[in-house]
Amino acid sequence: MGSPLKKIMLCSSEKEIFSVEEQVMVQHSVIINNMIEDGSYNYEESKIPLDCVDSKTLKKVIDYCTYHTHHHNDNQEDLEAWDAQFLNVDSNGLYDLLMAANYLEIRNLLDLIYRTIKNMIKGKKIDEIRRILNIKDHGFTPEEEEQNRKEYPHFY
Amino acid sequence: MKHLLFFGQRRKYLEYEETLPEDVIREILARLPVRLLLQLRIVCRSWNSLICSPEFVKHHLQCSTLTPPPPLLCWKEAGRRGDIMHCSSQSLILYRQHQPTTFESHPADGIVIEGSCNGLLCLSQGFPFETLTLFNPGTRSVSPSVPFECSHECGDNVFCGFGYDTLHDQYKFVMGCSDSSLITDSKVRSGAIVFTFGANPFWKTVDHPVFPYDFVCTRNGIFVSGTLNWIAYHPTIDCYELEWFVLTFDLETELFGRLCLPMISMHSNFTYMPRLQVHNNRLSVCYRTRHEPIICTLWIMKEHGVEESWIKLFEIPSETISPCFKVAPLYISEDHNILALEEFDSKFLVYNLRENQLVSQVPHWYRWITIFLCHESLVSPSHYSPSGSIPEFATHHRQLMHCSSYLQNHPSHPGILQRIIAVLKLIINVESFWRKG
Repeated sequence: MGSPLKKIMLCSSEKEIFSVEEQVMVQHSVIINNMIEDGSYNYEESKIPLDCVDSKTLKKVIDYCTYHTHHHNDNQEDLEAWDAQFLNVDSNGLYDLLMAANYLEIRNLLDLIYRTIKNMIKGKKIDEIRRILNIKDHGFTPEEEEQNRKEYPHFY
Repeated sequence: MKHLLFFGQRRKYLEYEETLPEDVIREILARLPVRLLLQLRIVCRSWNSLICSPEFVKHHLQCSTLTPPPPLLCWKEAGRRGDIMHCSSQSLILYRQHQPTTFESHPADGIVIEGSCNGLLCLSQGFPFETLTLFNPGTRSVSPSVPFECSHECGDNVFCGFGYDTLHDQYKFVMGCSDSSLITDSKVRSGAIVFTFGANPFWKTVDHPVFPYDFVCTRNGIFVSGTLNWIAYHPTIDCYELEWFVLTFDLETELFGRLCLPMISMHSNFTYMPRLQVHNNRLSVCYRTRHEPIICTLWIMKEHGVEESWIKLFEIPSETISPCFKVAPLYISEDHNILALEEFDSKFLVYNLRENQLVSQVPHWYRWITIFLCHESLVSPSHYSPSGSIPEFATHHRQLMHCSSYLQNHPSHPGILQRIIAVLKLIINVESFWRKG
């Protein structure tokens, strides 16, 4: 665990640099924690390049980690309300966040997004799910697809 | 700086940003309930193969063990007639409704539920235990019956249980008799039987603890943390000085052991029986006091096998429920409602722990039933059974069993009989080889 005063630099895909308390990222991101622990991060020179995370998304990820570091003692309901507000983004935004969290291995954020997508799928018809998750090629033969539609008409 | 290189490599996600990567899909689906997953198989071919794969089934099971969904309650009316009934714990808690239904396509006349584990029910048919079958109420799939023969006259002295051995990835059925003199089949006399399900099912005898024991209330073991557990006592001690304890069987090591209960010095008789159950993957025991004021207390073993880790979870004073209640808590929901079975008046109770009051009472009209909690899973019963139905194999297997018991009871012709058994074993081996080929 790093000291709370130390800062680390994160660099977004647009080469914008974000300075964050080391403690905040170490606590949440498995990847950054590993880097700090094995000494591959140099405090004077290194910037961690996050080529697949844009500035807007990176800012949100840092917001999430910072809030959850400083408010982890808050009661569950308040945290859940904050999370709900935090994830009030369009589907592209949600996708970008998911990719960033997956990339940095931020487990609680991943879990939160998984749950959100789960709720997006629940109770939906098959065609809607395909649209939401952008599944263009379902991979069934036309006969199989027809058979499924015949067998489970109420799911479509 | 290999990490920095690694960071750049994942760039491809941006190019394919329309569809989610497979591992993300896997994680999302692993959090969904069984019923929904069965529908989602027709979303696309890759989801279908994912949901059906044994690796995903295990992953889904792990996720639902961490945050168990509300269980299905399954039971069978006393006696052997009638179908297996089930109802959802959620509908009892939320809608205060009880609509017991049967598993339509699986009439179960003559079948008894012996245990529940990982979303599978272990069913037995015939008396005593002619065949065993695994049934998944979530997917409605059923395994072929496996012959299981053990002649005994134990009647009510039988205890049994059904559980999962994580180390060997095997489901096991354990059976024993609390009074060993009643077992006529010599293979059980000195121990309990462990039956292992699988492509080549087999049973073996394991050492018994020192008997006689007697069991309290249910003889069906409770599965938790890789062990089966029963409440037992020594029947020779005066009934007012009884000491209950937990008889525990480790499915991995196949050893019996005993664990202390939180209140061992409690003087008890049959009216005030402690009850075992599982809450949040932990063994729990529920007591009621013997004398007024009648209070029902629930204890949880925080760390399985550690007797010091029993903690008292809550107390319910009886006047809030009924004057002569006999309650068995079944399930504690996330919103602090306890679903319990009131055995005296045959009804389900929902008690809110936050408000300390009875929320609802739903009559169920069934007398003396044992409720099995079933956390729905995708586990395939056939995956753990011999493939297909094999009547010839079963017959030969049965003949072999008869021969070996004859041999053991009539030691005067060991030579001839041993040869017959050898031939029969050979036939069975050839048959199973043929089936595999």
